Amino acid sequence: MPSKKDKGKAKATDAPPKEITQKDLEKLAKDVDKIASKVQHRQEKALAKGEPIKEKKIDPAKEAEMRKKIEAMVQALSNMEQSGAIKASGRKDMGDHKFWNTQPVLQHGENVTEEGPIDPAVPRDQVQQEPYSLPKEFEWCEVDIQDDKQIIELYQLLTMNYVEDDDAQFRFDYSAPFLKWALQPPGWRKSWHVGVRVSSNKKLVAFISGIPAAVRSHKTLHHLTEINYLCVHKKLRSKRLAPVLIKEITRRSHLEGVFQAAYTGGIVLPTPIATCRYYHRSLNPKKLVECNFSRVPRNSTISAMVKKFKVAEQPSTPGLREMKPEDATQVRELLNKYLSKFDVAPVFETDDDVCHWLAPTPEVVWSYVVEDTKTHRITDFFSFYTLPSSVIGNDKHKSLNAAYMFYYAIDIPEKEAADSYDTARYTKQRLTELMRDALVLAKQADFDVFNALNLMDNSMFIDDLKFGPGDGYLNYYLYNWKCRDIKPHKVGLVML
Amino acid sequence: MEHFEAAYEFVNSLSNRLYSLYKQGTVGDCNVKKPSLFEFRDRAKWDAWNSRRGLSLEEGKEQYVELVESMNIGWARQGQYEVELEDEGTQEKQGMGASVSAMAYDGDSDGEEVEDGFFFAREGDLDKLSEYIERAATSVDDRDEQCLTMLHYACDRGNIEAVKLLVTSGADVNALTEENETPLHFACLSEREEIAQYLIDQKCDLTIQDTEGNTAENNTSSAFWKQLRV
Repeated sequence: MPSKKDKGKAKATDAPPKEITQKDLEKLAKDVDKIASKVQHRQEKALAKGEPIKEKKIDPAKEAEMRKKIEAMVQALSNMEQSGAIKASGRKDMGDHKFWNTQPVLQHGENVTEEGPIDPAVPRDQVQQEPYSLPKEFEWCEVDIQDDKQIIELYQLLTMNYVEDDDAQFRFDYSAPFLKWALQPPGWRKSWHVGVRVSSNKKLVAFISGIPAAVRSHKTLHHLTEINYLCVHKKLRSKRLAPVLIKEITRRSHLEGVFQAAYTGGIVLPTPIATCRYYHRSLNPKKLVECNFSRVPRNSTISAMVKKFKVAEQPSTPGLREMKPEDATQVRELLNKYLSKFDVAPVFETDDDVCHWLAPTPEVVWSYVVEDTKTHRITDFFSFYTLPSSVIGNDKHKSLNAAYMFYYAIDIPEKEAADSYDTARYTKQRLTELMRDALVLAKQADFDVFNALNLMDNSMFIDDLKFGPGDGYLNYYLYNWKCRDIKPHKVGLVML
Repeated sequence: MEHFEAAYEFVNSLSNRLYSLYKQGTVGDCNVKKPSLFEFRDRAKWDAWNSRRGLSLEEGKEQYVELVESMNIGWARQGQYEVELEDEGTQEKQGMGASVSAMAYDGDSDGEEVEDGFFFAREGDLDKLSEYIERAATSVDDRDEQCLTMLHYACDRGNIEAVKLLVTSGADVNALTEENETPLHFACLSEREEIAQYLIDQKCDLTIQDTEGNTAENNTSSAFWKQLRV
């Protein structure tokens, strides 16, 4: 007894161009996922074992077939989204593809055959001279980071309205000294600290920033803008300010002759060049449980977790000491050499850059070097920075103290450098030792958790040092630059 | 303009509510003649006022103030304020910038939670725990698959009342885990000052070493141990 519904279905299958159903899409998405995670897993396993990664040659026919399937899937998805068959992500503002479709970014499913800009550079006099217009109740401003009053305004905007997790349990709480540091590297520009105020009462309600940076992607060195701290007041999210802020910071970059930008985000926009996952190493498991940051696994106890995550009282690497500004030249050489093996990474062009970003800054960034006791040469370097989160609606705790892995570099001794297996084995062993000390130092500085993405060589030590996978991911983007996909362990860029 | 009438009606009903509370707060119960059904504006106002019958002048005034405040149109007891827009509902939590992450948790892999004495001790559910102890055919010192007693769990999670209940019900304060840890080891590892003090006052054995050779004292920070009266 065929129902009406069944008949409809039979008809649809008879029709020559077979319509892609949601089921097909799910299956295809699963297949793609499976393949991607298989490759990822194989590479991570090699890294964790301290083996070099062998890039397997992909059969071009297979790749083309897969690509075609993915393109069909993306097309079908967007058709369904438009027809209302499936709900769009619900992220109206930032994830708005109508906006991103107009931007010089790689669109979903677009194949990169040749790296390069999407839009050409334009001479300064052809750049729009007037700021983009805002809804009439708002006005543009430049936030003066050096003015104590204004940095506090910015701090307050961010601490109440910046990035939260999906369950609204934690919200980033960048401190004022941190923001000063993050927004004023050598060559910083006041015109790139863009704010929006309410015209009537001058209240700061939105912000976006750019800082100059030298970043290499594959073989090209860009002097680009790193975009960060895009924030719109919670009550104004319907005003569509984010796209205007992005366009305005782009215009201001153009005025300075900069046509590329790098940015990161938790959400998927067109189109990430890389996607990394967060990993967390508990230092204060009891507090993490009380904040609902982590849970006690069934069949375990807080006492067992305390034992498991206990770290040594003192670091153990001989010659380890705090970095000094005088170390800048050596650290710069060491770091640039180490970062050269990644597919996207910053280039520290001057000692001033190194001093600013990597010399210790109290309550902001912690940096250490290993000085060879005989030669006094610096052989290793690592750093981490502080980024607390407000704990929302918790009676016991207001703030979670998190340390984030920043840059590091090790010198590969000559006898290990010749053979890729030796290099990988040495790298894993050395990094594990150093990061074990980093955990000790972070614990001494009263951090509750140590966070790292699975970028650089982090996969080599995250398991051994008891990091656990997080529920957050970070997508990396380049603006106005076609760039081939980059695997997490080939990412050498850390954004704050 | 299709929305005009709806808007007019909305404002009308609102102003009737304000009128009714104003009259009740200043005059008291409705004391004028009921207008006829055809004078519908006046009749609606009269109905509104009359519906407040019985409210005191004081209550009428208070409710008037509350109603104005609740409308969020720029006035509150504290004075006038700038009206801010309502939340959109579709808030962007993860935008451009970094991304907040917490420890991933695969709830399913843990399996169903069994609601037994060990569970009640963890949760600190006193009523259910005491019911369980009374009814259980087995001893208060029974072990679960992890070889822990209910007292270990109550100490671990900091449920002091559950600890007291278990101890007064005869739980062994020196019960050992497979790693030779006492309830005091657990209270010290998870830094439960009140519980550790209670166990010490109950004359628990402070000299017991776990399999790594640590007493409860060795296992905790000296700052924590110093707080205790031994």
